[in-house]
Amino acid sequence: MPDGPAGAPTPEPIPLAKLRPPTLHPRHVARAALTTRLAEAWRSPVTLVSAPAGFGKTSALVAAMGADPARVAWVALDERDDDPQRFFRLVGAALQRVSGHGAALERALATAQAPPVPVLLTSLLNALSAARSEVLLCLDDLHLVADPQVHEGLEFLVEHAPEGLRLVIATRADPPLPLHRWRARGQLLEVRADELRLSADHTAEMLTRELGRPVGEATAAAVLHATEGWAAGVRLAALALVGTVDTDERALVERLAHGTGYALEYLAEEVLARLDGPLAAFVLDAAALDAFTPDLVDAVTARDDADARLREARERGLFVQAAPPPEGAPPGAAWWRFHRLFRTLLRGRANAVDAEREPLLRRRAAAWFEDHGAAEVALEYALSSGDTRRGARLLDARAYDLVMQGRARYVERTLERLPAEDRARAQRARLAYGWALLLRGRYDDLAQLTNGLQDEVQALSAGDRAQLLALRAVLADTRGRAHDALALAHEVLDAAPERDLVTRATAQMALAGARRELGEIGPAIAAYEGAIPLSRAAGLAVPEGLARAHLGLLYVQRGQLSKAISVTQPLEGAAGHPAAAAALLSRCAALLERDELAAVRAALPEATALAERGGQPAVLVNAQLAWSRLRQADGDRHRADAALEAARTLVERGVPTWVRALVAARSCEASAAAGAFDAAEAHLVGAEALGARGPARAALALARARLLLRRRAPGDLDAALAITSALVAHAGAGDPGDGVRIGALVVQASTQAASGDASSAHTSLARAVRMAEPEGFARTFVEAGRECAALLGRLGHPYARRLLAAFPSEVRARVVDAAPEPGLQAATRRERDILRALATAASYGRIADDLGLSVNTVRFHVKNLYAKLGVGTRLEAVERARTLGWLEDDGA
Amino acid sequence: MAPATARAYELRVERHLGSGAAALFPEFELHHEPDGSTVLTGTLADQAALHGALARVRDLGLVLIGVRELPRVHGAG
Repeated sequence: MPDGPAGAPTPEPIPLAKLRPPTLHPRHVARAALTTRLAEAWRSPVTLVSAPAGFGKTSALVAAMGADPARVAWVALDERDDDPQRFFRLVGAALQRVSGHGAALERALATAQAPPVPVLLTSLLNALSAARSEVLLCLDDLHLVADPQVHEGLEFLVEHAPEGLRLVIATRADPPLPLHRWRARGQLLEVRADELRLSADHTAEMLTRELGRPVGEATAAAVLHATEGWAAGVRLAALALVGTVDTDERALVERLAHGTGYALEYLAEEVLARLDGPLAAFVLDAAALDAFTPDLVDAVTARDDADARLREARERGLFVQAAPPPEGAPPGAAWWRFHRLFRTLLRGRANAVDAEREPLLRRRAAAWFEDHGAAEVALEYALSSGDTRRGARLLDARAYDLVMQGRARYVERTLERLPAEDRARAQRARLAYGWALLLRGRYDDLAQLTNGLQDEVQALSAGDRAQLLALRAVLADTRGRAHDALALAHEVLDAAPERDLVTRATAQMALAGARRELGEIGPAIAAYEGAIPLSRAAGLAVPEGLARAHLGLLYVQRGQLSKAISVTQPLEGAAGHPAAAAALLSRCAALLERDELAAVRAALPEATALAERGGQPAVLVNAQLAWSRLRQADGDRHRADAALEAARTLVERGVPTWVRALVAARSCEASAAAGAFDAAEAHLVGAEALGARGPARAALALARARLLLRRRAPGDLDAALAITSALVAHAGAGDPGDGVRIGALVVQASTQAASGDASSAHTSLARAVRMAEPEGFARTFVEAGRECAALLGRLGHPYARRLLAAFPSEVRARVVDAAPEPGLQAATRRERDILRALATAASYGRIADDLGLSVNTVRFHVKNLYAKLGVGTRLEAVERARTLGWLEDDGA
Repeated sequence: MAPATARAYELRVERHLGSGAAALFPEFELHHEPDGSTVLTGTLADQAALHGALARVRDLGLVLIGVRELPRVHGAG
């Protein structure tokens, strides 16, 4: 057994046989009315064919769809498809075959970190809609699927399907879908048992075809009476009638017409009774198997005649059908199975004779499949026959690959099916399931699982121990236990095999997180940077997305906005993935610093929606912080506060200390800006007690300085100056980074100005502006408000002028009036009137009319204005004037 | 010993079931009623077990005409 996994395994192949509509029975009885009715499916958003087993649902559909098979996406479901990822993978593959769309859905679901199904379906539906594809998606045997997520996905599909996509469901039980609603809206075509029942004529026709001779009226009537037009019953009756002599037929008819017995069972027994010993033995034994080849039947029965018996059974029409090969089974062989209903009857008969035989045969089949490399099929046989020891062993060997292939749900369910004793033995399977919990952010469940495994750590191999340590390191990191996380991560990186990239990437992330929590920003950045190629090599999008998100925020704090924006570039293939949300939000944080509000406005809604689907509190908090800053920039203080309030609620769900500190800092600033100094103080005091380090501690210090600057109680300005000076001067291990330093310089300048030290204020702000220019920091100046604007106006630095342009117009107007740009002549009142008119896109003639001037006079003023503003076009003139605050109404 | 959630149930289906069909319901005892129906009585571990039995009724295409819980009998089950 390999000691550790090397990364994500290749996806499981899609069993194509499940995507081929079955062929019609050669003696199929055509039913024109039913076919016409089902052809309506092309015009109905949803078609439901709901009837018990053996009513000919599948055949009726195949007959109706057969006219246009190229547009029918068929999925034959089985018990193993009761898993949303697997189910929608099949749907994707089926749609791909007929429409050329769906491959992306299929591939995305074949991994451990698949985005939620609705996200993927949205892209698929858009593609189908754009291509105007006409597709009938047929789901056969949907009753085998119970998972609510599948039904939610189907409901989503129907509610959002483009015109050309129609859903057809064949099932034995009405699915938990909003059938009532669809019915009321006229979106549902229903074909139920009564419509599927064979008429007297069709019953007679089917009997005639099956028997190859005409049947008497009495016989047909008796069969119809006993079977009530149930197709499987009629075929079984025909089988029972084959080769009967007259007296036998009369006896059978008598019993069918008047008996009280369950007709199908009785007919099946009649059929069995007519088979000779070896064939009956073959049929009863093979019915214990879900699908079989002669080799398999011989192997489990220890006989050697299966090949001949199978031929015989097929010749006699004993409900033998071609079956999809079980997954992982040796290729080449043709697989067979009995029609489900007939098989059930056969199993009943076999169990009545010897209840021990079926489990015995299935246990042998488990061994056979295991020997032939079909581990998962072997696992199913083992579990269903009570061989849980073998089941646990097989699950243990496969679980890791299954999880990484997106089958965590199956691993979870299978673990639940094991008795406690065998579950305890399946340590590797539980460990593998731990990875699924980690990738879904289910930390509480993961903690419980790792605690359990920790007690049995001695029984684990070295590679598995490293995996367990890596999971524990991540947990320690998410719980803010940085020193534990660091120690565990180092242990993993020393012990994990080089090729176990998943474990190493995970440990690397825990290590980086711990460094960050400890305020060691340089090492944290180096660790996150190292985690990106590792995650990529391991095929893990989730940690890669998180590493990029962390780097983005850290670069912002360091003052490297370009790097922040480039590292958080949306990743190809990760679009729509919750893992992409964190990186997108970090990108928004960088864009906000640059005051690129339009870009933030464009990106934030999607990032927030993804974050909500992912449900990670820390990511959700970052979304709310970004909204709060954006709303504040819009001047919408009420909604900015609401976003902060949401962030504070989310914090209570458990986030790292540094996230908590950022929320407290922002809350403090918002309260202080509103003059609520006690509330501001309260936000801060709680957070300062957390002992955050590095940039988080600096953010809190800066918030306190801003509070002091606004409050201006005796001694406050001196205290603010002390704090900002410390932040500006601090270098070395606890360096808050230039991003924070720029903010500190801005606060320092305002503090100095407020203390009457104009020259120091000028120096501090000039330094801030010089540091801000290369990377384009802007928002931190704007958020410092009016005083900062006034100081900027006096700097005369070109970047200071650009910064001023970002201030709200009412602030800007006063500043520019107070400190006109050197060399810039003020505009006259008339020129300002004309500028405002220019901004409305009115023609010169219209402007002249409105202002009571001649067109030539307007032209004259415009020419002068262009010269004053140093511009060449109307658009530039308006822009420039807006920057200077010349467009504001100066009537006051 | 049956778990605490165990309950005794009675299912009633149309037609008389034979030994083959009965073998598919090993947790039940079967009685043929004079009206041509079959009554299946058995103690089931929980609701999931009941639904499993009902799915078997469905899969055989049997017509279900009644399901009820039987009163608990002290000292039994």
